[in-house]
Amino acid sequence: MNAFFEHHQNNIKFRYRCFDRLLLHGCIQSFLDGARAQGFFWVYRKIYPVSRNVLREVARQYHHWAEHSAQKWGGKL
Amino acid sequence: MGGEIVDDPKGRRDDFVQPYFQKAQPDQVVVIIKGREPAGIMTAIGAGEKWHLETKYRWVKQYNFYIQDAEWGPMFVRVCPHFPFSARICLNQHYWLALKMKQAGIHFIQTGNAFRQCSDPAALQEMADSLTAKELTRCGHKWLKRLIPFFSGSERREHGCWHQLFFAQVEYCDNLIFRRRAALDQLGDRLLDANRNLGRPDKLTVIFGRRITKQYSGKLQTEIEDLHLGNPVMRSYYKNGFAKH
Repeated sequence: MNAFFEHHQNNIKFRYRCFDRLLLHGCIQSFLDGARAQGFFWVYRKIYPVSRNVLREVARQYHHWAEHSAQKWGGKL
Repeated sequence: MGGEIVDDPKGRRDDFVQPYFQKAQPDQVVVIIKGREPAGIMTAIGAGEKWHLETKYRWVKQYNFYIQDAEWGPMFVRVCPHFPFSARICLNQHYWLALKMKQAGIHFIQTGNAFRQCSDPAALQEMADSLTAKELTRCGHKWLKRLIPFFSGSERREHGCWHQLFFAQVEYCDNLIFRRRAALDQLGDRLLDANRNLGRPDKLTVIFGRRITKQYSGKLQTEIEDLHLGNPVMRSYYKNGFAKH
């Protein structure tokens, strides 16, 4: 790139280098292990066993929160 | 216009959300796109009193929160509504730099993903180089905390219910701003000509490390894509893989 820059230097107004798109993946590592996720539900939510319905209810609550929040967020969070 | 939920639009999401950002205030969710995308979710397997949990990849409805961040400008956070709430955060340093330059009183003109004018290019480069992981994690955790209210503060602190962030994709660009467009057009044509042979079978042999013989029966083609965008790409396919150049 430096040779390219030097060759075209007269036609170049300025140059800068920076990041463009930065895509980050976020996950809670301890919950990649099913047993630890079950432990969380027992210790913090007193729920045992963690059945399909429990997980469905967690997702349902999030959908409800998102829809409710969307109506509320006219302005700043 | 703040924070309405819309279905996944046809076409590019970036184009669709652009009008929503025009009157955005700092730290405002401007629109939420709900779309089906793959994610790792916790599934329960069993019956009665005996259940165990396993992570599986599923296509599920996810929320893409488009946000005008106070420090990073336009960005989005995708949250999976299923436990354990995996997420994606997309940032662009150009917008971060634009806000920094505004604060520093540097005059600039931004066009899409480039600054085509800047009154102090040296200061611009210095700002660009000053970015650290701290800025990324601060922004990421700020929004994940707000957009995933399932975990309380103490759960985040004591049980480690906080998201660790990993790079999924990083793009670093070397921007050369030319004085005249004509010089750049000529150069673009020459570069396209010079690199067209990258898609030929002999070059693909080098890239994929496999000879292409008469017996080869998989996919083998080179396409120019995204011609309508600022940066068209050439994609050379070989079996199930491809090289993008």
